[in-house]
Amino acid sequence: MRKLVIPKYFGRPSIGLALFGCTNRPFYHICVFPDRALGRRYESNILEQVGTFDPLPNSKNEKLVSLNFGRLKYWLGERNAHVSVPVLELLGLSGLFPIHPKTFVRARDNREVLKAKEAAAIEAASKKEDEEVAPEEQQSVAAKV
Amino acid sequence: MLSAYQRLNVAAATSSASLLTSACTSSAQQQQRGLGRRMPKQGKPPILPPAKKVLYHVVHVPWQKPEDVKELLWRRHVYNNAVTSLREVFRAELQQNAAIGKGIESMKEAEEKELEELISENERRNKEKAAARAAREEAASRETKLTMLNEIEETLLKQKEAKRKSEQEVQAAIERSAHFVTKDNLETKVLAALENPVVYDFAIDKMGNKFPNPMPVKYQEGTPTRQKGRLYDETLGSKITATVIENTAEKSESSETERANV
Repeated sequence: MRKLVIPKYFGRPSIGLALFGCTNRPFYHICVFPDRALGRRYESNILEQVGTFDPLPNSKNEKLVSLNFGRLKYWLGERNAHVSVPVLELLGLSGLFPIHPKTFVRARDNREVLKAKEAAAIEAASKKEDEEVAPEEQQSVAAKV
Repeated sequence: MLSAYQRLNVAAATSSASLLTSACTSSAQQQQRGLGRRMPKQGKPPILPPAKKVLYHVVHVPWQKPEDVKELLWRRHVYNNAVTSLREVFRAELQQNAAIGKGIESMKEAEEKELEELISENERRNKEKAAARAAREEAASRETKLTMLNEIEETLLKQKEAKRKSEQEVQAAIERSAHFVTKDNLETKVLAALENPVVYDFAIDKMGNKFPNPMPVKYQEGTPTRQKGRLYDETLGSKITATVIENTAEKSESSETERANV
């Protein structure tokens, strides 16, 4: 028989990001939602806001996150809240939780991209030097002749 | 043979009276049964089959590197274990805090206490400010009263002065009205005017001496000449004319006063 709600998780709140921005300006509130099993319809019934996340880097190239650790501890420990992956990553970076596995993978990918960029830059620089040196040699040869 | 729809209509007509009576009373019940005035739910009618787009929708999981998958497997395992134990740690921490007296209940009490303190402080300040405001307002009202009284005094003085002036004017007018021409004294005034004609046909010098030429006469005899003669031949201020002048000057003055009164 089809069950309307999963008894194991019924009434289990979930912590996630709620988009509170406007056009071309994303801004997230880190919120506690009632129960994922109730469906997306009930995502608007936010139980509590436990933080904010500004995904656009500011002038110092920082993405600002604020978290209410006391309330988060309550929702995680006492209420056994489910936490979405993006929030888990933020919690890992903030130090409340260990670093999330996805963060490791992403960081490695980013490092590789940076390495590739650096290598490309070095290669381009060396090519330029070669091109500059080559015409000088040609000129000296022409003078000798 | 009746169709199902017609039969339904008939049934509705027969039961309409009972429905009407119970319509007002059981609005809550109606809402419970979904018969109230509410918007229909958005989406597909439940009787229709699922759309092909939904039915044959395949979730394409983004491709991951095999080494990443391998790493994520053990990392996730470790991570989940850590999170589970951390949850326990948090729960224990909360319980400990509650036992010590740093829990939510004690926080609530402390906050209530603080709120009460703040309210009492606010009331105290409000009272202080109210007293200060009352004193300030009293002083201001006194000042305003004084200025208003001064203004009233000034206005009254002005009105008194205006009244005095206008009374004077009226008195003067009344005095002047003795010489006025009215219907009663019209005849006498006309006769008086005829008796004392005023002639402005004269020359005048800087001293104010008037030199009429020809000499004015009270009663014109004969036809008055158009040409008054060779005026430029006359030497003004000669003896004969001077005597005449004095008389005429007196006469003219009296006549002028009369005119002014009129």
